Amino acid sequence: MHQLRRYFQEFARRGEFIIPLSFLVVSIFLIYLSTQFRTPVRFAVAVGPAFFPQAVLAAIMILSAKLIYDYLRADSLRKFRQFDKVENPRNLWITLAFMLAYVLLLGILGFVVLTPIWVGAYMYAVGIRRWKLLIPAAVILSALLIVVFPVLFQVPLPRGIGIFRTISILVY
Amino acid sequence: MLSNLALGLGNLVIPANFIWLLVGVFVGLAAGATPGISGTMTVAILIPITYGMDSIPAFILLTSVYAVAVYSGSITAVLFRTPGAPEAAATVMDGYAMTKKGEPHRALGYAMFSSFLGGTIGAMVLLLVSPQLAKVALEFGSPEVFSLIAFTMVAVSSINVKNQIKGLVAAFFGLLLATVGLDVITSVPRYTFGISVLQAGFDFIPVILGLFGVSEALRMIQGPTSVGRAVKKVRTVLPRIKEIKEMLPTYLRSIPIGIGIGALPGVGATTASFVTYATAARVSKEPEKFGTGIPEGICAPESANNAAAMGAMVPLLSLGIPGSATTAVMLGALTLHGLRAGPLLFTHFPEFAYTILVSAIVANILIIVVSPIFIRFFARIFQIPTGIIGTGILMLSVVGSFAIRNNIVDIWIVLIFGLLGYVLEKHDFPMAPIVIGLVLGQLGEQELRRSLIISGGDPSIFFVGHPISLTFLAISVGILLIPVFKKLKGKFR
Repeated sequence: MHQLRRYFQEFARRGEFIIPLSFLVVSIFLIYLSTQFRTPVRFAVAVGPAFFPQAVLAAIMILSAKLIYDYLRADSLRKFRQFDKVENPRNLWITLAFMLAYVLLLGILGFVVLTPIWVGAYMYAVGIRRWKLLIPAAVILSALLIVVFPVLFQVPLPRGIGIFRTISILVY
Repeated sequence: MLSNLALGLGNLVIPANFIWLLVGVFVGLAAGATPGISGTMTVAILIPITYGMDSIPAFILLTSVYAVAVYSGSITAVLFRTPGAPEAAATVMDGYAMTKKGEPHRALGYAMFSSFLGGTIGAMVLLLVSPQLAKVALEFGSPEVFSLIAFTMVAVSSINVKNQIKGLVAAFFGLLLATVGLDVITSVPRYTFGISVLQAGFDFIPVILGLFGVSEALRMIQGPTSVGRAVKKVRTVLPRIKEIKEMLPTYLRSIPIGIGIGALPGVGATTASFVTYATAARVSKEPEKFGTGIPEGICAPESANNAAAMGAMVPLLSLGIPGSATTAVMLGALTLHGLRAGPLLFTHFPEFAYTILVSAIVANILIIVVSPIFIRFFARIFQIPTGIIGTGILMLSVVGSFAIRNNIVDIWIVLIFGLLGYVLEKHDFPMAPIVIGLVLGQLGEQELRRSLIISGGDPSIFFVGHPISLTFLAISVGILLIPVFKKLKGKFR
């Protein structure tokens, strides 16, 4: 985790170079893909489906190349970005990990079971340690989400599998 | 027009609709007053909630949030020197200085009255101008529409951004996202990578929820655990008639400037507030007093930013072209409800269009009624820990994105765009051009190709015999060349 954070910090410092380079590389790949768009015969005389994406990608490539050129010409002070210190940098990673877990578990545990557990655990993880605040906040927020989406607006949110599905059917 | 106006007013006095308006006013006040929560993000995360509603109450809610959030940023600007929204940044100078002089109630009163006045007049202008502009826009052909979109994209990516090249990259990135899915003319799949849900292209809602919701939550969650500070109970005192009369020249100057700036793509309410603050200081007989806590320093930016927010809705409703991130989000919401902003909105859905216009006026009027009540409870709202606000934003973004198509792929899109938005914004790539590019990309491509098909591939169709198109393109080139001129000017000095 610590090593991963260091890599990310290094990436952020060199972002002025890495981001335009990524745009450039992806654009080259997408231009290659666009050459395989086949225009149907009845549209043969018209401007084809590859025309607009190719024009847009060409513009991105030129502009990204200019950003890379500017980066290479800049002095080292401007090359490596220094960002303002944040109070809780760890929370970024915690949030990403929790979000990933939520998406992966949603299909198994279902919305009704997973949401209150997730909300409570996540709030605790990002620093809300007062139980008198955490429990009501988690309960109210989860209840609001359940009432608004599956109950009121009848959004068919995932019900989960097995017993979790049974619990979910009891609620909506 | 009067009958449509009566229809709009009639819709608004329906109790259920009026309650949605009040809800929107309170949500707008709370969101605008909380640093880190933008009006754009609030409108974005409310869209999935409005999905299950009829279009009229849904847009009453969204319009009132949009109108009021611009004002409430001034509350924290006045009390804590921390603008709740960027539009209130210019208000800090004299608003906070007045608080330091022991007159926060007067500063809040001036900010509230000025916002009410600027917003209400702006909304009335919107009501008068939009239908007329829509009639003109009905005459636009494909070259004109394409050129207007090109002008909007250039303006949004070049004005008010830290780095023009990055702004342009962001705009083209947005246009690129719009090309994903089946081609509108030939139905050839483009960049779908075999994922069936991508055949319909990127749904707009998960992308904006990622760019504005998740990315802002990621920023917020790393900051201090509470944005609030110890807040004493504050009351609000409205300016007296005599004081309002003294401010009249400031209002007469600032409100038209605000509306004009707001209607231009890419400029927006923040610029309007700074421009009018600077103008007020320049024409003042005592410019040295600006920054020491004088009413003009609050009235100029606060009346202008609300007027600008309403001005920004003119091109959205009449031309279907958003000039700012929030109006782009509103355009996305219109699409979600099966409506298309633009000239036909006034002819095909006059009841809807006029209800929006009337609700914009009433929401601005309600600022002066509801705001004093809100400020009383403000201390409690302001001290909610960021962990709870962040969790709410994340959950609304994730669940809201799923609600649109009931597809898990949209949750992944929210997360990917959330992280992407966070990284790009950290490196000064603006978000507004991405969103506007995504919203306008398909229409822009369609009109460009249609024009070229009509002309047999001859690009002169955009210049010869189409003066409106030529004008838009000439202005766009002018905006693109501004940095070059600035560089040359610097060299010759």
